[in-house]
Amino acid sequence: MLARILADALSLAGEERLRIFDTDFPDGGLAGYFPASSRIVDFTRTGDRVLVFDTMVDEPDHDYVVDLQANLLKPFFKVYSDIAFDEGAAAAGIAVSVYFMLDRTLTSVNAAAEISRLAGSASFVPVRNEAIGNILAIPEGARRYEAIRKNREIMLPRLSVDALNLIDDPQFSFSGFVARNGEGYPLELKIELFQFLETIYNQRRVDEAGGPVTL
Amino acid sequence: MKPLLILVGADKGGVGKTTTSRALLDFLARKNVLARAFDTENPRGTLHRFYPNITEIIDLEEVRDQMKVLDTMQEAAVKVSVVDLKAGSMSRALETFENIGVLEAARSGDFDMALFHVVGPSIASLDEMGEIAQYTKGISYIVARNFINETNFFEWDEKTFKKYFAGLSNAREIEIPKLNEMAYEQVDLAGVTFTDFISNRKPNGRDANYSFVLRGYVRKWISDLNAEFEKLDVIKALMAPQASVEEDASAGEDE
Repeated sequence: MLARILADALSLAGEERLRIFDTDFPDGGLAGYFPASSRIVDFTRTGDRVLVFDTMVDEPDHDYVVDLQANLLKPFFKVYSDIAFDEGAAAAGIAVSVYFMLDRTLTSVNAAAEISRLAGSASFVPVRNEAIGNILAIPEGARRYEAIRKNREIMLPRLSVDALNLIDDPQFSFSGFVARNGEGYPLELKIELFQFLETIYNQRRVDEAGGPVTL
Repeated sequence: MKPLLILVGADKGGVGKTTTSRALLDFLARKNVLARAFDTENPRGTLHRFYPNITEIIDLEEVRDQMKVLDTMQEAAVKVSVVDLKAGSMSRALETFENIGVLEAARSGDFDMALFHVVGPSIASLDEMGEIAQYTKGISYIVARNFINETNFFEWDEKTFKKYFAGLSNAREIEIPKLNEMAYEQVDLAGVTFTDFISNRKPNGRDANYSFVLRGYVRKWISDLNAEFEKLDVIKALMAPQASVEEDASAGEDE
């Protein structure tokens, strides 16, 4: 969901500028919403790893979204760290932001800490999803979360089933919805989605690095 | 500085012996230690392909070529000689060196000598260790477990290895870490040293266009390898004068 919202926002700068690497191989998840900008990659293959990182360094005049499957997080950031991607990115003028989706378990917040470490100088943003529970409800979880949160975080508000069904449609785009001022949608859904986006964007603006790459 | 003769060998082929020699020469170059190399893979010379300026292809069976290596060690300006023994020739070379007194001279301290024995994950490799034990007394014997081109190394029984290793009191062990296959292939195709690949340089010194990712893999591998080499006494001894030169230089700068 967050990757889709970010990609949608970035596409406003021009669809040709946006590039997405979708690691949900072979079917693709995010790619279904942005077929023209997406490439589905098999990150277990060296060739595709090379493709992802080399493309970003060699063609930095694009905005990139890399949508990572949970099982690929560690392998991705292991490579990221091993090849010192943050140095290459900095040399190419690329700012990297890592948005890490947490669930409500300690395992998740521990994994976030590990990824934050491997991500080096990248801006690390933990993302909590109101719909799947609150890690802060566990005292140990809250303590560990504070250690990784630094000065950025995002909370995804809970959406109703109707809203979820609506945005699930590949034809739906958040940018289109905003551009048309929610025209054609039931008032209740319109209000809910505007509030949802407003909440997220207001959080994104806090201390936003604003670089051309978003992970 | 006493001359140092480094042999890199294995009786089993395909264990990454020449890669280890390349890595070692790369390491020495990065540490500003001048070295010369002898490639016994006659006449092709894989090592020679990567280090044409410092490598000579020789046939260690030939007395003339034995003299090129051994009779020049004391006089040569370059004090470190790396001999890459072709696959299957290690035992024979050690036997020859024993017969003509090379090993004895090393044991007597005329020069330093180290044997990097590159082993793969097979029992055959382990057996080699026992077979050459008679030659390794009094010299630096380093068992290099090569992970670089072995995907099944982890299947190797550690207990068995330790049992063989325990029988060699003077042996030191290092691991040649695994390098991503594609990165390895690309360095091979480029025909450059690992250091030049990382620096994105062609064999002629011009800028290259190697993959950032693959260079990153090689850089990480080299960094891990540095740590392995640096823990060896024979390498530490080699670095010692180097370190004092660097210290003198920095002291001079401070002044």
